Amino acid sequence: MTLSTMQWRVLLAVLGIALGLFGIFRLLTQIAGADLMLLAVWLIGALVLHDGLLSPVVGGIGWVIAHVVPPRARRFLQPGLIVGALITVIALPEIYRRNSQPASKGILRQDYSSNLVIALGIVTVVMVVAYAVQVVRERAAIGGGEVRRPTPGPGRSVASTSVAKVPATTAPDQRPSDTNGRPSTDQESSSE
Amino acid sequence: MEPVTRLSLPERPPPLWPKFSSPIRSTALTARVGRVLGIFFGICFVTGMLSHYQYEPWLWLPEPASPAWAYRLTQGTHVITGIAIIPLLLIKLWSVYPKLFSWPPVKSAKNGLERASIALLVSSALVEVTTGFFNTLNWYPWSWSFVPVHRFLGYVVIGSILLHIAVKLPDIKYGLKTKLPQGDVLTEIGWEDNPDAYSNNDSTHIAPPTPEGVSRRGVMIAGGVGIGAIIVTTAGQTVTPLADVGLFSIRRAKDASQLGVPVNRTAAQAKVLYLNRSADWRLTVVGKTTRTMDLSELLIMGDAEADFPISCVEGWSVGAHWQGVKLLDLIAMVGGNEDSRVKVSSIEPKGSFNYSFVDGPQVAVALLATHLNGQQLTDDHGYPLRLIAPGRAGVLNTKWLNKVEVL
Repeated sequence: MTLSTMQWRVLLAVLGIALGLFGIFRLLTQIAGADLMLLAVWLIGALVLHDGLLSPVVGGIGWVIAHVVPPRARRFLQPGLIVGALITVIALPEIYRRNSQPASKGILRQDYSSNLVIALGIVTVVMVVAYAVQVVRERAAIGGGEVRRPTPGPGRSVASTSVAKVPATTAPDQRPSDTNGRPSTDQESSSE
Repeated sequence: MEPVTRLSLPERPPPLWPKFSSPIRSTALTARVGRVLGIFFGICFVTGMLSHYQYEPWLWLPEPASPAWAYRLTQGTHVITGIAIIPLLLIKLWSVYPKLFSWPPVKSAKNGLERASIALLVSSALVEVTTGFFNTLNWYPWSWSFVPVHRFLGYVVIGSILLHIAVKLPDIKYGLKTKLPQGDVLTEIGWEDNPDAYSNNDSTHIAPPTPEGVSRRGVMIAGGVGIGAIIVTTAGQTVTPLADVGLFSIRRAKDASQLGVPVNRTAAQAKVLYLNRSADWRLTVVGKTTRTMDLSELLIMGDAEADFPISCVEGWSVGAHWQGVKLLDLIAMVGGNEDSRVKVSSIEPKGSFNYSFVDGPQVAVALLATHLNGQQLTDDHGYPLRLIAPGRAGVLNTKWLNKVEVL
């Protein structure tokens, strides 16, 4: 017997609600009141810090980059920042907790600040080299008079005109098939 | 850009209400990230529950004694995937951040419930992985007991994930079957209300604008590289071949200052220093009769050896060579056998883990060790006598033993 989509949804929802309520029930019955209050503060605090602080900061950085850095460089800067930021999130608590415990525990004995510099250095070098190779290739292609599309950067982004808020009426112009054969538009920047 | 939905709330959001237009965000991207995240959370939940089971196994289903690396594998996996979830979750939440600003904030009672369940999902998931990671750093900036809260909150996380999948299943199906560059643009306006979302996945579908900067696939690759780098540089605390690239490895066997094995709880932390070196120290073995032994007797008797990894709930593990007395030989002196249920107790005066039970197949293979990696135990490793059994959480290999009881 195969279940329909709706049957799957009901099954998953019932199972999910049951597990969730079980967890909440155990929390409420097994954890002391003062600890529960603090846990509630943590739960709400996590939402506030993530949605109210971290996300706007990340979004703001992205907005500035989109308005300051040309598209070709952005295609290397943004992935580099993603990789670097993710590593940093893990490294920062380790840096803070380094050598906080007795030596025999063998915990957090490394110089995580230096290791973070090494890791971010590797990311930077890789992205700068990749960017330089891309620039040289594109110049060679132009210099050689070849008519071909530039090699896409990391991922398969193809330079095109607009990023933001393209009205639906103009959308057909953005179809990938229409962008084929266009010259590189690296010099253009988002109008939005 | 106006919402089509017209309810009693103002049609338009306030003037400064955030608007999102980046064509990078898409249900196609979110569904792909979410699929990996869901699998990782599933692995974490199952391995986590296996670990919790160690604390109170049912009598009819005791922990296995082989393979010896079973707990090393499951708990190492738990912590590796748990750490990897942190960056995954951040990417996933970034990809759907515009949804926080859908207008009106609550469209209907059903919509309100859905949003409340998502708030619970996001907050419980963030707290679960953050506190779990902090636990591996021995960092407890809270008052509650970590283990039960981590365990019960785990049910809340997995339950709200299942509910979320149930609610979003049509979106997930759409997202997964749509090619990444072709998928809708995810904004604060739901695709069903938004002609600019490019979401009509049919023959009239118009592809969304291509991002000028990093592409959707570029985000996936960069995220994958970041998460992969985190896994490779942290997993060395349990995946030995990766120890040398463990830039962010929390523990390393080579950093262990005593006998090549890290310690989770020192003799000073357990407040057993001097008690364990007391001339009055004796091991009492209680069964049908009672025997009392001093360390010299145990050393003479102790000709058993075994290679058992020590695997911590915090995700580190290391292979080790142990020498000592077979638990079975000891309890045989007082009428016990391999079907016995045994309680071992520590001189540690207080603490949640100053005793543990050995049941089932572990009874026959467990050692009461006096030596680790060829040398007598140090204070922090449990001098004079500790339990070591295969496939057993490190914290349940009780140290500083002074009593063995056949129950």
